[in-house]
Amino acid sequence: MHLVVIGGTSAIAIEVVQYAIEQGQVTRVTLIGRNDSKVNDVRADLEIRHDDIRFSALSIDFSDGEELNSKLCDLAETHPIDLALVAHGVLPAPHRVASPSDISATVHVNATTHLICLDALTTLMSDRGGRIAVITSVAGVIGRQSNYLYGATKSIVSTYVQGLQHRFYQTSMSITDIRPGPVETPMLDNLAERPRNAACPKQVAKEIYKGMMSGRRVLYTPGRWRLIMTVLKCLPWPLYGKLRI
Amino acid sequence: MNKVTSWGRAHGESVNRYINVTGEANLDYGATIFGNGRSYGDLCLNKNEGVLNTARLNNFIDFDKNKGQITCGPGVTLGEIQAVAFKAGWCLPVTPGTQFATLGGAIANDVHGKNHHRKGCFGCHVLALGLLRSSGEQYVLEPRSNSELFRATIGGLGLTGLITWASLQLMPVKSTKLVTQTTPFHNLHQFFELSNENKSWEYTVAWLDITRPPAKTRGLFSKAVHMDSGPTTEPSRNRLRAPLTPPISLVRPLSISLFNEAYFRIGSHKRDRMVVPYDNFFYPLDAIEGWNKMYGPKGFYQYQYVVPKINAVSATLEILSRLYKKKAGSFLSVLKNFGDITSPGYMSFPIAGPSLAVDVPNFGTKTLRLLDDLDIIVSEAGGRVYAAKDGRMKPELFTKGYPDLEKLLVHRDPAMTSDFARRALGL
Repeated sequence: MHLVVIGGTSAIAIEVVQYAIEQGQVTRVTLIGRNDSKVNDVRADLEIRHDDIRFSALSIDFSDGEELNSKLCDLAETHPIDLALVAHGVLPAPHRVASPSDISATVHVNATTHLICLDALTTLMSDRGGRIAVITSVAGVIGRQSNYLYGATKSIVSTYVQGLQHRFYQTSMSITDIRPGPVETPMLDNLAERPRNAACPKQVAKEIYKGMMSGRRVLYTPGRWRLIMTVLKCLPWPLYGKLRI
Repeated sequence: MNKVTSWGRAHGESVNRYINVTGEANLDYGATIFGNGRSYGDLCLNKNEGVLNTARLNNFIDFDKNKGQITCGPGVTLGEIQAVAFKAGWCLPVTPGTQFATLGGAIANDVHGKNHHRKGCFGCHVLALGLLRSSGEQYVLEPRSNSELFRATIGGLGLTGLITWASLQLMPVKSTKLVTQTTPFHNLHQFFELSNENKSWEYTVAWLDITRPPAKTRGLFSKAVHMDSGPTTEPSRNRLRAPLTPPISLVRPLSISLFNEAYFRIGSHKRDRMVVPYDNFFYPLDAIEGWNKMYGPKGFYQYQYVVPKINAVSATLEILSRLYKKKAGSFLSVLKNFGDITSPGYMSFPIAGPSLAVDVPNFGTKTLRLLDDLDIIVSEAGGRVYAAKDGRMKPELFTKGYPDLEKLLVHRDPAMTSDFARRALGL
């Protein structure tokens, strides 16, 4: 099977690729990222680790939605896509009032480009079927005073995914909404206070791959976040308002 | 991880920060590099400024499968290199007892394995390495170019800067399997005889039962060679996991005696040659994740020394006698006989002669006093203690064992330090 990863330099994505290869179902991997040199470094590393898998690396200007769409179409024409993971994104600094350009840029990377990718992928994969997974976040489930811009962008994608799930209900294609809690990756490095219980990327990657391959609709990883978010959503507003999270 | 500690778990924790990109690593004043925390003492710790963790610099950069030359980032573990190398008919020519040490750590400690008599130290097989200094300058170090800085960095304990990549010459092999054989011995002289008779075997090592009177020291001498044919991959090993840290050390005189008796008896019966996967022979303790926790919250010290051949028997007997008198048992006492191959590293630990490594639970002052006594014996015999294991040696005795320390210090990056450097080198 051909696995395409958008955000191919993401720590979680690299672990998902490795786990997928270990399960023996993937024979070709295409990594897509915005930085040519970084995505090729990742490709070179994976090629040495897994010399029986075909790897290729593509760098795309994510600010150009049309290029993103057309490069995915070209890719699928050469090598039909069976599995896709949409894993790119940025985490804006928390607790900061964002400038208009920050808002634009964050919405573009975290939401707009995700929707463009999902549109392209579902169109390209609908005939053969396949599995798509998109990494959103627990932050998209409820707005929090510490990261509502980030949360809002994830929430846009989650709702879009839900619509796609509805559209492709009972077909041979599934789209899984992956909602991780904090994961021990470079994304957390800029936080003033690093979460103490950030999850291990390897464990999260395993859960993502399994969830994706079983066609889960929504996957919280680690699983305890499903309960935590359910409780938060059910809290009466006067209680929720007092929480400084 | 927000905090890290070393394998002995007896030196506290350090605040942990990751390096993401080597070229942009900011080596501020008081920087200490942390690999994967497999050294035992305080070499990789820094209670003042915290540590810079190389775990994310874990990329493979290049692998020439024809020549067996591999280039990686410093955070790649030796186990990851082995898995890639074996598939292509190569393996690490030198490996320590854990596959979870990083490439950077292996170079910084100039680690040795069970085949020092044939392959020397890890640094003997480093073709080149990249070094980043706190000034921002980046160097390519090779044996023939920038050779002094190269020699200072091999075994340089992280004090010359950040290793950003390294190229190694691997050793050709035909299989992941080794043929091994174990022979019991009943005194130290028999160990040295076995060691001399079996120099043609690639790997030799002895487990020692130090709970016996020195004249009756017994142990199991193991030797191994790579098989001429066989598979080039091994399935992942199922690892047990130490579930928790017990409130006190489970390693105590009674448990050690019982374990040693059983281990010797079982080992003595297995005299035939056996075929084992490489990780069983090279990395037996890696089968238990978190085995170091069994020493309880106070952790343990590992003490490893080497003494010159000329004082081999007398110094070893004296040390064993001291350990026996103080009932400082260890279930993991490993005796090797280092050969003559010299390493390029100025601070490389091995010299030709016997080297004993013992794990002793941290029982506080009495443990420290015992180890201080051992320091004197080692020093008087012209030997030295291994920095990668040390956690408490005084600077005067430590530095006496390393006459080339000044050559490292000349090339030291002034920004680099560690708890070890402050304690044992007086920096």
